[in-house]
Amino acid sequence: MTDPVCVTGCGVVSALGESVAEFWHNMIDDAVAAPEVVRGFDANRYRVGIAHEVPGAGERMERASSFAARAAREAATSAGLDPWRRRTGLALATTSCGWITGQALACDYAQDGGEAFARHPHASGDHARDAAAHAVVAELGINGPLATPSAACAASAHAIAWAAGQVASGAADAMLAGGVDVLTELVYAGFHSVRALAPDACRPFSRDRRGLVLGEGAALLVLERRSSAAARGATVLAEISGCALTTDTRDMTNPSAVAIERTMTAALKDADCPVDRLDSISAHGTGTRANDTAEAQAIAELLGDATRSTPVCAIKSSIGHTQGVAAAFGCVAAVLTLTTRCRPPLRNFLGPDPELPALRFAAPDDHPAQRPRAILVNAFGFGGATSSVVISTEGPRAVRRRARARFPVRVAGAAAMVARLARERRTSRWMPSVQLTEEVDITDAGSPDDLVLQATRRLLARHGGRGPAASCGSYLGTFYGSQRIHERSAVALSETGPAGYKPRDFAVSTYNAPAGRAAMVSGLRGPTTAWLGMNGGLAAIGAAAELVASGRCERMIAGGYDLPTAMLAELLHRSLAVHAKGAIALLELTARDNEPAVADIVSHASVASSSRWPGPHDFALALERSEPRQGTGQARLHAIVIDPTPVLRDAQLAAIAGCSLARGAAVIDAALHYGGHHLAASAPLGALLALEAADAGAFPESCVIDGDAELVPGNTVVVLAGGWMTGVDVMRIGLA
Amino acid sequence: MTQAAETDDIQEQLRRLILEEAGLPQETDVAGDMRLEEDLGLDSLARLSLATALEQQYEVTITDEEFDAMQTFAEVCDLVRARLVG
Repeated sequence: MTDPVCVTGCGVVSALGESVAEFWHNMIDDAVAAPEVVRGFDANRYRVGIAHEVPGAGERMERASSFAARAAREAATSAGLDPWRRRTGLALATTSCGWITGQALACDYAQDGGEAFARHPHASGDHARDAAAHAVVAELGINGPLATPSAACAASAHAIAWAAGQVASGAADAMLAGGVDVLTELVYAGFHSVRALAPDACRPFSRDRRGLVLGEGAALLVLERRSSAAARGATVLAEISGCALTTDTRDMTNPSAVAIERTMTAALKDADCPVDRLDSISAHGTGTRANDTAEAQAIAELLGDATRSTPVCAIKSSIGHTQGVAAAFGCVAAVLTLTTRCRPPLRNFLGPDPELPALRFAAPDDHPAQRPRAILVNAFGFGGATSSVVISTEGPRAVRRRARARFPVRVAGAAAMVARLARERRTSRWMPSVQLTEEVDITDAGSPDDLVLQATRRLLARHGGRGPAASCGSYLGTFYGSQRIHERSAVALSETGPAGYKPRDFAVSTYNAPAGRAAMVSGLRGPTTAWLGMNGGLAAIGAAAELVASGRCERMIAGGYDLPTAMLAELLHRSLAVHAKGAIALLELTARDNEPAVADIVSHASVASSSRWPGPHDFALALERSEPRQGTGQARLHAIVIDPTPVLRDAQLAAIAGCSLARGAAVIDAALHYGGHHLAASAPLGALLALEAADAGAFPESCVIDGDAELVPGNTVVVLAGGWMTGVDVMRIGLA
Repeated sequence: MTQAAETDDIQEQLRRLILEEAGLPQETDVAGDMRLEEDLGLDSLARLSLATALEQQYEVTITDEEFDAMQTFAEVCDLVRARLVG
């Protein structure tokens, strides 16, 4: 029996309306709102000054939290779901949330140094980025898995795909999945610098189109297995029947027709959906020359003879480009098209562009004659992020049986680089040509991009000239990502105005950019994205392991990195007594049984926390949920590598003391060994330390807090990670 | 300085600026009819960077139409000169 992942509820906050009913009414109705003069900041100094903003005032920092919580509440209510009664998780994508307070802080810090923090008492380095996710967790009583993936304007497709995986595997009974983004001046200035902003309206695929119009909002869907929806009597609105997440290795900012076509084809194959089943395609359709040209070519190529009969929708013509939420809005619109038999019409169309293939566009009142069956939703982002999701009506059709997820996943290699590591160099037996932990000074490294690129190259070097499978992707956790670019751009904007914002900076400013660029250079065309938060490194490895275990990717690179700026280091030192240092640690995961493995990822669990800092209960729950679902029953834990954040120490030790399987386990603080706190790289570094310890027969004495340092092959090591407002991640590693 | 000399001065500044964005050696000869993309190898981001650099250095605003029209070295020089005179 197949048990497909279904949509049972939707919620939105958008410029077109702050409920699904209002949003859809205005989307279909001809009385569509035109973009208006930007209210959120003074846009007079820009050549263009319009956007699709959500009406209503309010402290801008809190708007993201408010949007997300309201959309989530509507989604849960419409699904008839009491999240706290079941194991309900959240996947909330974002790209720019939080750079409202961050902009002012960066400028003040450039002028006054640490004095500036007093004026921004809530600054915590995440600039409230994760506050929106926490607002949903607190509002709805979310108690299941939590993640904040970020892949530029394709981000919410990653959230939906990950959430569907959590539901399918049974890690969650229900997931809220989607995204939130608000209009921020830094992102506006970035799109302005690359001349992508339209002066009057967004005109997807039209002749004389002049660019995109930025929007904002939140969109969430409730995902459940069909069986659990049926068990509680919920109405199924649609199925998430397939998706494909890939990386376009051609260019950081311009999508290519080849990559789009490949991604759409892969999503349809995943959904087992032939092209002639498609009711319509919900295009990314930004209204920029480059996007629409590539996408129109790809769509015509995909549809072939059906090009003239399959309508193309582009909802950005009504709500603008909602950034990281674009895919979620597209999915909500697709669900509504399937349930209401209305297609969102293409707005602002001046006539066909003679340079594009002739497509058929959704016109007002051109609604499906028969019950529509499936819709393909596209979303693309900087850093090569390319995604397609297939939403279809449920039905008793023959569905290809999916292979069950196969844990454990093998770790085939590892690489790490740590800033100013003053210790002896070591060479490990499993990677004779690669040093596991290398002594390099990366405090002066130009950018996280370079750090990620260097480490990825080192990891892939063991393959010699033959690169790994093109389907290999890269999931990287990070706390601060490339936000040094936002810091720099904020100062440039305030000192020299819009001309100070460098187009080249904007192209690599998104959280996924370092992984995307490394994938581009190495020819990796699998999914690349960033997983945000201090525990992002472990979240990334967990998500990558799930992809490999489910057979969606043959190979993944996964880990975490951070390269703190002076501002971030000072902020974290003051607020958390954390000495933040730069590092990157990567693992190579493979599904292949015939490759030598250094360890196995036995399981991974993520748990949202109702408090801002996770407590003993959260760590205990995550430890419990990391018990492998299929396997050898309860395995003793031999060592536990704790999160080095001081504020989390007591909670972890309490959870470990209460865990019967951890009795007698060694408690390890890897930060004592690596000489500092490495933010999102901490937990992956902890995993690497365990691999080294297995090789040496014991953990270095200096990092053992409690218990016996000895380790032998076959032992199980647990790595813990917690984050400010981002919950807890736990991973079990079986040593080879 | 005479007006002609000032003009030559600007042309020389622009030549250096373009070569920098193109990642070409500073001694490269640039003829007026050379195209930024095809002949000098500026990709889309480099062209955008050039426009931003011009705006910053000469304190002018380049509209999207002017940016689209700015395809050759001579057109860049004409645009900047026209702005500085006007």
